[in-house]
Amino acid sequence: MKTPGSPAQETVARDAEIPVEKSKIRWHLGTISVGAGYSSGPYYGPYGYYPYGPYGLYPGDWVYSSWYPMWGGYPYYAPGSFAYNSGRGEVRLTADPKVAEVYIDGAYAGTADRLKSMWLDPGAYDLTVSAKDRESFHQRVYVLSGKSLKITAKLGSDGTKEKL
Amino acid sequence: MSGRTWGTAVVVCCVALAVAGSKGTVPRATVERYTIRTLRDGIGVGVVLLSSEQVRKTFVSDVDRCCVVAEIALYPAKDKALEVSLNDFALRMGGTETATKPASAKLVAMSLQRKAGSGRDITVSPTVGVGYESAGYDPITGGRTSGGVTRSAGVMVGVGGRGPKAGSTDKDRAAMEIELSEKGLPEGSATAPVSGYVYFPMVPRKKGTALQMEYVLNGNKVVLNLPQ
Repeated sequence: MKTPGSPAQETVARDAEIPVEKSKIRWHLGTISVGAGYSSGPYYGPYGYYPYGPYGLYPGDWVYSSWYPMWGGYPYYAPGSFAYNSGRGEVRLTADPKVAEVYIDGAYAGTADRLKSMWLDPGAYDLTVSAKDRESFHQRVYVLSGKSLKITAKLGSDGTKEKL
Repeated sequence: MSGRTWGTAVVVCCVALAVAGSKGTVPRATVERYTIRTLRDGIGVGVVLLSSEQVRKTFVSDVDRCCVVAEIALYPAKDKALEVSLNDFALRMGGTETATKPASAKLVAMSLQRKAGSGRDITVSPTVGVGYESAGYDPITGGRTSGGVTRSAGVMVGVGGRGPKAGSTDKDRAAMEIELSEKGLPEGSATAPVSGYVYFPMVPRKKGTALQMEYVLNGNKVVLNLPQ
């Protein structure tokens, strides 16, 4: 018989504790995984009160990322959302500055230099182009299938806007 | 998310809500700014008749295919509300009994969708071919054939296209209705100046025929002569 406190018993005790520690670790990992999920498609997030895009007019799939704390992330369009489709209409965007951020119905679409040609489903959209230290450009855009719409957004620091 | 991004997002959201709630166009500062105007009982009426070119620039929808478009501005009398109704307007061909009432955005959109879908895409392409045939045996008759240059000519006829026609789908109709409605003259009680586009279905008329805009104001008919 081995005396209490012998190395063999200590080994057993350590072995018994290990599963407890492992389960704690797993629980913590599970907690982290909540809120770090990734989903696609029209999704308003678990809280249902996001301040963006409540109109249901999103032209394509946008991705909601819940990496961000508080209200979660903001909706944005997934790559390929503006690809050509015969049932869509084209919005040809030219912006100054070229790296201005483009929002469609409040959802981030990308930078203007990467969105020179956007194909959207027929409908009405709120287009916003904004850049740091510049006046934002807003325009209501109507898209019809097979039609091309040219928009020039010049963001001036003095508040000048121009549309062609 | 950074504070700046949040700020941008909030601004975008506010603007989107503001735009979604607006209707019509922005009236000019005063009714005197309109070339065609009248002032009765303190109520101002200004009219601009849009040319086909102006209509094409102003609208994504092909409204010029079905309608005469006029921008109408109404300036209510001071401290008095004005009831705006499309039924109070009519477009008359000068010196005739022919007049049309404005059409609703829904009706115009349906008409445009029907017109867009009614046309047929027919492509006719001529084909011409020149080749060389070597001598050999005819596989059918078994006789010997002589070689030489061959020529062929024909016409290819293609009907229809690969995708839907522009403005012909139900989504297009809905989009056109939204556009026409949002840019249209807002109806209802107005205490401040309002303006917007009014769509009159096109009536066949001779070139150069003068048009008159009629507006029933407090039971009295006001007539504005429009340029040809």
